This record gives sequence, C-alpha cells and structure tokens, in this order.
Amino acid sequence: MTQPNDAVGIDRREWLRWLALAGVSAALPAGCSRRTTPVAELLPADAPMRFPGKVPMRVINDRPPCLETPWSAYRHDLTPNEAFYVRWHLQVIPTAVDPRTWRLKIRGHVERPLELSLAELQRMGPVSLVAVNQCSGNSRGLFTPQMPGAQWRNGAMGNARWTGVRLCDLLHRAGLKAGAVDVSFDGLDNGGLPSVPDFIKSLPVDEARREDVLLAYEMNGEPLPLLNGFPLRLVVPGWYATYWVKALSEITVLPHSFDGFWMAKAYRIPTTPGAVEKPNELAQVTVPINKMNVRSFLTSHEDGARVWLDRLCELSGIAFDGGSGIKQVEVSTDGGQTWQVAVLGDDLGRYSFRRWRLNWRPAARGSVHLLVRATSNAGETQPASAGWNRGGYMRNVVEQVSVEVV
Amino acid sequence: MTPTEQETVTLTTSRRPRRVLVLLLAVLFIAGAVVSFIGIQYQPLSGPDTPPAATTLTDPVVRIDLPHEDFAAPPGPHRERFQVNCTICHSPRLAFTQPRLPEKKWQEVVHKMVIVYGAPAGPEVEREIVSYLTAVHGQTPP
Repeated sequence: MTQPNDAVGIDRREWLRWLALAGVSAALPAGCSRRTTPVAELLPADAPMRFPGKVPMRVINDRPPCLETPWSAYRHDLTPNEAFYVRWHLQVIPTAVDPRTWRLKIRGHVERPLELSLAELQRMGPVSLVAVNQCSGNSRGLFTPQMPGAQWRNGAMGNARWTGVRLCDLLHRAGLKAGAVDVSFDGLDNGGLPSVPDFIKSLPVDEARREDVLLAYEMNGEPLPLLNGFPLRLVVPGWYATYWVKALSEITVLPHSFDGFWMAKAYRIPTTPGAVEKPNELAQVTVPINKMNVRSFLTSHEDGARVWLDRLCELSGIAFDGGSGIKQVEVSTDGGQTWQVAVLGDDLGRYSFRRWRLNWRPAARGSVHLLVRATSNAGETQPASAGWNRGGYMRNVVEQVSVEVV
Repeated sequence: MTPTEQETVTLTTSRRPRRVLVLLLAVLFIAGAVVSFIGIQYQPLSGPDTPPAATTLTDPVVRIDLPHEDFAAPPGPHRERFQVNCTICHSPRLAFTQPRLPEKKWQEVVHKMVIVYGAPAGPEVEREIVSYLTAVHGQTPP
C-alpha cells in the first residue's frame, strides 16, 4: 500500500478507483433505461411486496399471506411489528375484527364455560414477557435435498414483548374437570372449502398450565397487527410458532388427546436425536413438533459484505433457544478452525434473542467465512453439519456468512 | 393659455391619482369580501361543532385491505387447469415459490391437495396439473 491515508483508511489510488466507479454508475441508468421486457416477467415469484402495516417483505405466498422478515430487522433486539414475519395457513383470514363483538370462548371439559370480551381480558392486570416466535419451517428453503413447503430463508422468526393474560388464570377460572388431557386452540381463520381441515392446534394440559403461557393482546406495546393475530394470540414461549394460534377465538379442554389434522398429520418430527432422518430412510415414529432448539446468527453483516483490512470491525448477532437461555456464543473468523467467545448483551429474559458482540480486526485481504455457534444453559449446542428431515423443520446448523476483506 | 384653462388642466391631472386610489380600494374591498365569503363557507368544516373524521376515529373495527397482485403463471400445456383448480384455495404464486420439483414430487404435492384438502380434481385433471407444473416448474430427476 502506498502512502496510507489513516483518516479514511484507503490510499489515493483507491480513491481514484472509487471516483471512477461512481462516475460510471451515475452514467449507467441513462444507458439502461429502455426496457424491452415487461417488469413483471423480470420479478421472481418471491419478490418483496408491501402489505398493510408492513415494510416491503419477501413473499412466500400472497393468498393467504406468508411474508418473510427482511434481515436488517434483526439488528433490533425486538423485531419491529411492521417487519415481523407473517404466516397463515388457510385462505380465509380475518381482515376485519370488531372488538365489541369478538369473544374468547373457553369450553369443553371445564366446570364453568367462559365467554370473555377483549375489554374484560384487558382489565385483568397485564403480564409481559419477551419471547422468540419462530416458525417450525424457518430456513426450510436452505435444506438439501429441498422439500416442498414454504421456502423460508432465515427470516421466519421474530422477538417481541408480548403482553396479555396468563392462560392458567383463565383455565383456573373455568375450572378444569378431572381427567383433562389436551387443550385445543382455534382462531378466526378457515379454509374456505369445507373439505379443508380447520387450523386447530393443541397443547398437553400440563404445557397449557405453564405460568408463562400467555394470551397476548399486545406486541411490542401496541395492539397486535391483524396480520399477526389481532385481537388475541396464544404465546407459548420456547415452543415453535405453530402453537401460537392467531386471532384466537375458542379454547377447548379435552378429556382425550386431540387428533385434528394439524396435530395428527402435519407439523410432526422424527423422534430421532435432532429430529434427523435420511431421505431414503424415513423415520417410522413421529411426534408433534414442540420445543425449539438452539440457534445463533450473525446480523451485522450479510453475505458478500465488505470489511476493511486492519481496521476494527464489530461483529454482532443474536442467539436463542427453547427457554434455558444462552450460556455462550462463539465466533470463528477462520472458517471454523479457531473460536473466540463473544460478549453477551442485555438479558431480556430466557426466551428472548440474546445479543452478542465481538470486535474483529481482519488481518489479510480476501474472502473470510464467519461462523457463529451458541451453547444454551441446558448444554445444547449447534451441529457443524446440517441434519435433514422430510418436513424441513428445526434447522439449527452453525451458520456461515462470507465477507470480503478489502 | 388663460388662467381658467390652466386650472382645469391642473384639476384633471390632480384628480386622476385619486380615481386610481378609489378603484384600488374598491378592488381590495371586493377581494376582501370574496375571501371572507369563502372563509365563511369553509369555516363550519373546521369548527368544533362538526367532527368530520369522528366516524372513522371512533369506529373500533380493525380492518385491512389485502393487496391483490395477481401472479401470472407462465404459459404451458394445461395452464388453465392449474388456474381453475389450484387457485380456489391459494395464490398461483405459491406453486412458483416452491423449488423446481421432479414429476414424482409434483405428483405427491398435487395428490395431497386432492386427498387432504379436497381440491376438486378427478384423476385426469390431477394428471394434467402435474404435467403443467412439471413442464413449467419441474426438474429432470437425478
């Protein structure tokens, strides 16, 4: 390097190169303005679209809406509501809800069936907690071999402060009869055709009675957006989002196990360690998906980002698990040969994203593979190579981001 | 020039600016009248007695309008079968955000739609939909 300019970190020759590049890129639009192909044909099917109350988001489906969070949103500890991912299963979703007439019904195997208005729930003394909501199929699009289903990248997750009432308090008010086995949850959505199985999920009664299972009417201090489940959403901290039923309207206590389609046939994982199976040797026994495994991500830099040689650069990201909390995050800046322990940020609760940071001074030019690995308080860590299952669930391989040192 | 003649000349020249002044005042008066008339017309709208946005402000119904941006399924044999039968329940987009699947996988997917979700398609229509998807969004088996 000749005559390094410390103030800017690049030399004069590099400056000139940048200037020339700026000139060329300014001239480019003029030459490229005449399109011969219609825009629609150039757009991929998953091109970002703007839905009401949302930033432009990658579209997995527009009817019903399935929208992926843009990666930059994870630089916030709490994922902003307008960037929070959206996943509906059935075509008819509630697009208008009147809180004056909406009621939550609790019935089935209980002493006193309840019917509660939103105002009644809001008068009950709010409970708040921060928890990650992650789709079971988050990262499905990254599996090899690929499988059908919503082709999420890593953006089917979000961290929010959920405010509402404890489910156990309501179950207590209703009075569970002896012999309660499962509790099922139904929302305002439906399939349109009578043949489409209604989206109803269930929890074993002991999970439903957990103190931290909430019925939330607020998300990050605001009423839930309609697309994220207004007026009320089940919050099952530590468990995959398939249980977090949106636009909740009916809770039924059952004296037997619930066998609806979305429990008995869908969202099932092999019982093998890590829920791993082989494409040509599928597991015989499956169970409903449940607790989340440990994951970590680099959020400060995306693939292809450029970092300066010999200058301090802060790497940062997030880690979370199914509720034991994050014990340690390690980062490798040499493709996995050596690992450094990152500094953990504020603890927003054991179900929340945990921010991590690490200062790094790149010592050589060229491409660098950055790896992140988290260990939970329960002692669980992330595998170095990705496991596979037919549903494309529970991916938690050590993630890799390639940056360019210049 | 007689003194009387001179006087009339001075008189006429000194009266002209006065006339202009009167005309200017008249124009200003009329303009002012027009402005205040318009002002009066509009005043009730912003007045405290009539809350124009009251109905929308107090309407407690929470609603959204979902965007309708049709995704154009690419041309291919039996495209109309796909358009008619599959888009009853979901956007055509959903098929094209899937990976490119080999024929066998498309058969499984389409059959699941019929068996599990009750998509209205007999065996012949099912075959046609599979052949369309394999042709436009398929993959040669490894």
